[in-house]
Amino acid sequence: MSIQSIRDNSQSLVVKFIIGIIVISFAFFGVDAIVGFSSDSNKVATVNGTDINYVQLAQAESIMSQRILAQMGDQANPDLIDSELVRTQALDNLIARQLIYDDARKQSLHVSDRRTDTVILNTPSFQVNGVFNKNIYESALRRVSMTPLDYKNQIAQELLIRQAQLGISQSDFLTQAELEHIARLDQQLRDVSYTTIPLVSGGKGTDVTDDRILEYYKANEHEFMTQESVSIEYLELKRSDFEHKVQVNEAEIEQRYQQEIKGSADREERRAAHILVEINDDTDAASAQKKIEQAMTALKAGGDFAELAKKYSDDSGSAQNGGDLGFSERGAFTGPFEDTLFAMKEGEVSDIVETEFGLHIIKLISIRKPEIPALETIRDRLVNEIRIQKSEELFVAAVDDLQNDSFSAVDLEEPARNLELQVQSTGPFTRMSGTGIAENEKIRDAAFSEQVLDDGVNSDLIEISPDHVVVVRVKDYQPAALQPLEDVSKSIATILKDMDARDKTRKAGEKIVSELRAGASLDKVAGDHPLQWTKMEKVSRNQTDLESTLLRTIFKLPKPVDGKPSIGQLIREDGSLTIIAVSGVHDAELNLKPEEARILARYITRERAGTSLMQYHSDLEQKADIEKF
Amino acid sequence: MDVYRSEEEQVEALKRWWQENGKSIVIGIVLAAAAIFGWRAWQDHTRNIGEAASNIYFDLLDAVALSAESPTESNKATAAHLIQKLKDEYQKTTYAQYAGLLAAKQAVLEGDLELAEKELEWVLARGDKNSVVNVLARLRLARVILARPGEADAERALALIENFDAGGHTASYEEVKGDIYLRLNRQDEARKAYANALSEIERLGLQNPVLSMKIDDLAVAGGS
Repeated sequence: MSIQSIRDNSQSLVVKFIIGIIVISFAFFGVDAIVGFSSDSNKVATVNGTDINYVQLAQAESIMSQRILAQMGDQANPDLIDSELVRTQALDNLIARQLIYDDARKQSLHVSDRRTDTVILNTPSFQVNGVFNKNIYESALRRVSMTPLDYKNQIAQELLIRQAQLGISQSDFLTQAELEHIARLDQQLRDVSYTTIPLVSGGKGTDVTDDRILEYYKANEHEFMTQESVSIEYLELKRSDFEHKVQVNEAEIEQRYQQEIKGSADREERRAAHILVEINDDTDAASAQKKIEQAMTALKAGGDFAELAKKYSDDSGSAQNGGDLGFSERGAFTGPFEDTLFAMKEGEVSDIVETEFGLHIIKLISIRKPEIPALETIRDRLVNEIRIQKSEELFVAAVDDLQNDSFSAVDLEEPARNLELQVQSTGPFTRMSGTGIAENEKIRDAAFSEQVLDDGVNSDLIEISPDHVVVVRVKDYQPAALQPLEDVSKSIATILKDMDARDKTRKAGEKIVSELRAGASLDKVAGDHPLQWTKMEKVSRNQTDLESTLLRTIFKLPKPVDGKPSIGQLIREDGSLTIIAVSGVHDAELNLKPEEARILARYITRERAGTSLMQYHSDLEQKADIEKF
Repeated sequence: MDVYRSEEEQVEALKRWWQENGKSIVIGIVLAAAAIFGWRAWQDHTRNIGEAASNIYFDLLDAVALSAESPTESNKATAAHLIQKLKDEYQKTTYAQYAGLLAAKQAVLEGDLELAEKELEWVLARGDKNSVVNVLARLRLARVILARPGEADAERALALIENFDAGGHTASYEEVKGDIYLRLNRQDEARKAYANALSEIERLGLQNPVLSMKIDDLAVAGGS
C-alpha cells in the first residue's frame, strides 16, 4: 500500500467524529450537544457518576443525522440513515466527551471568563456583518430554551475538552529517522516475474456423473427450494376513476372564481417604515415619550422621515434604511402596529403608536395589490380543481362503502357488485417480489399476512396512496418446495464443473509453486509446463500498469533469501491465479524533495494525532465507570 | 445535673464554665474561620493561576500552529517565549507539561534532538506517571532517542519503555517498541510488536497503512 493510497483511505465515522472535535465549529447547534447542564429527565447513561439524559442524547442524535445528511449532498435522504446506529454513536460520542471533560478537570485545566466570552462573541452564527448581535444571540438561545448562563457554561466545558485534545494532537511530531524509515518503505522497488493461469475449463474428464449431481443435490437442498408464492384477487378504487362521473356547471365556476379573487384581495401588502423608541432598562417611559415627540415635532416641521429614522430609531435593523420594513401582509406585525398601518392612506404618517416594543411613528410608503386574473385565463385550472374536489367526495364515499362491504362479505364478488367494480387478479408472486399490483410492498405484505393467508378473509383497506386504495383476497397459495432433480440437474452440473475447474487450476498452481520453492528455475518451470513469465524490474507501489491486488501481493511477499526468489500466488474471484516470484528488493535511495517530505510528515503526524486521541479515549474508557441504560 | 437555687448561682456557674472552656471555643472558632477563608483563598488562587495559564496556553497553541504554517523566526520566537513563560511561571500546572510537549515538538522540527530529549525529560519529571501527558512524553522520548544513530541509543530507548504500562495507548507503545527492535535487528520481536500494534489499531476501528507496510516488510516464508 502506498502513501498515495493511504491518503485516499477514509477513516471510520467514529474517528472522523472524534477528530472533528479538534476542529469544533461553534455553530450554534453544535454546542447544544455538550454534556452538562440540561434539565434532569430520564438518564440514558452514567459516566463516573455524571448522568447523561435523554434530552442530551436526542439533541446529539439530531446533530449527527444532520451531518450525515449534509455529507450525502444531493442524494440526501433521511430514510437512508440507520437511526439505531446513529443513536449508538451519538451516545458513545456523548460518553467520550464526558470522559475527556472529567479528565481535563483532573488535569486542573481551566478556562477564563474572558476566553469564553471571546469565543461567544466571535461565533459567526451570532454575528451580522462580522459584528456580534445580541438580538440574534438571545433569540437563538430562546429557540432551544437555554439561558445565556447555560450556554456560557457549555462553551466553557467545550473549551476545557479542547485544551486537552489540542495538547495531545498538536504536540506530536515525526522525527527525521522515522520519516526516512517510512519513505524508504514507501519507495521500495521490487523485481518480479509473474505468470497468470486462467481458469482451466472444458476438455476431457470434465463431465460430471449423475451420482455426483445427486450427491450435491442432497447435500445442498436449501439451494434448490422454490419460494412460497401466492396469487390474489383484488378490488381497487382510484380517485381519478371518479372524475368522469362528475359535472361542473357555470355557477360553480363563478363561485370558485369569486373565492379566488377575494383571497387575492386579502393578500394586499403594505410597505411600512417606522421610527421606534424602545422603553427598556436604559430608557424609561417618560424619556422615551420625550424622544419620540422630538422626532414627531421634527417630522411636522417638514423633516425627512428616512433621515429622522436614522437619527432617532432604536430599531438598528431598519434605521439604516430610513426605517423601511419592506412589504408585509396582514399578520406580520403586532396588533396596534398592524391596525394603524392597514387603516392608513399611502404616504400618510401616523400618530405615536405604542406596542410592547416601545413607541412608534409609522409611515405607509406604498400599497401593493396582487393582480386579479381574468376568469378565462384561469378557467381550466378552476374546472380541474372543482372536478378533483367533487370526485374526491365520491371517492371518499366509495372507499367507506368498500371498507364496510369487504369487511362483512365472504368474498370480493359482493362488494364488487355493490360498487360496480371488476374483481381483478394477479399471477403468483413471492414475499420479496411480484409484478403488476404485487410490485407494491404493501400489497405483498397484506397478501402474506396472517389474516389474509391463514384465515382466508378479505384484507383491510390497503392505502397505496391517498388517492388509491385496494382490498385483496388470496386466490391460490403454493408453499416452498424442493425443486425436482430434473429441473436443477443442469445447473448443478455447471456448479460442479466450475468447482472442478477451480480445483484443477489451484492444483496446477500449487504444483508450480512447490517446484519453484524446491529450487527449480523460472526457465525450467516455464519449459516444463509450459508457461510464459512476464518480467518486470523495479516495480513500485504506485505502478499503474499492474492491477492493485497483484501489487499488494508482490509487496507482501517475503524478501528473497540467498538469491532464491520468494514465491507466492494470488487467487482471484474468477478462479484464475497468478504465480509471483520476487527476485529482488531495492531499498530506494532516499529521494524526497523537501516539499514532499513536509507533506508526508504532516500527513502522518495528523493520522497519528487521530490515533492518539482515540487511544486517549480508550484509556479513559478502560479506567472509567460507565453504565448505559 | 445540679439544680441552681438562684440566678446568682447560675451566673456564677456560667462564668466558671466560660473560664474553663472559653479559650478553646474562641480558638476553635478562629481556626475554623481561618480554615474556611484559607480554603476559599487557596481555591481562588488556584483558579486565578489556572485561568492565567490557560490564556497563555491558548495563545501558545495558536502560535505553534502558526509557526508550523509559516516557520519564520519571529513566529518561532513567539512560540518559544510562551513556552518559556508557562514552564517558568506556572511550573506546577499541567499547562507547563503541555508546554514541554510542544517545546519538544518545536525542537524536533528544528532537528535539535538533544533539546527535544531534555524537554521531554523535564515533562516526565513532574505530574502523575499514568496521566496522558506523562504516557505520551515517555513514548515520545523513546522515539526521540531512537532518532539518534547509535545502537546504544536504541538500547536506551528500549530500557525507557520496556517494562512500562502504557494503559490504553497500546498501539503507539507497541509500534515504538517494534521500531526499536527493528533497529536492534531483533526482527522476530519487531514483527510481534508490530502485529500487537496492528491488532489494537483494528480493535479501535482504525487503519494504519504505515504500520501495515512495516509488517509486510518483515514477512517471512511460511508466515501468513
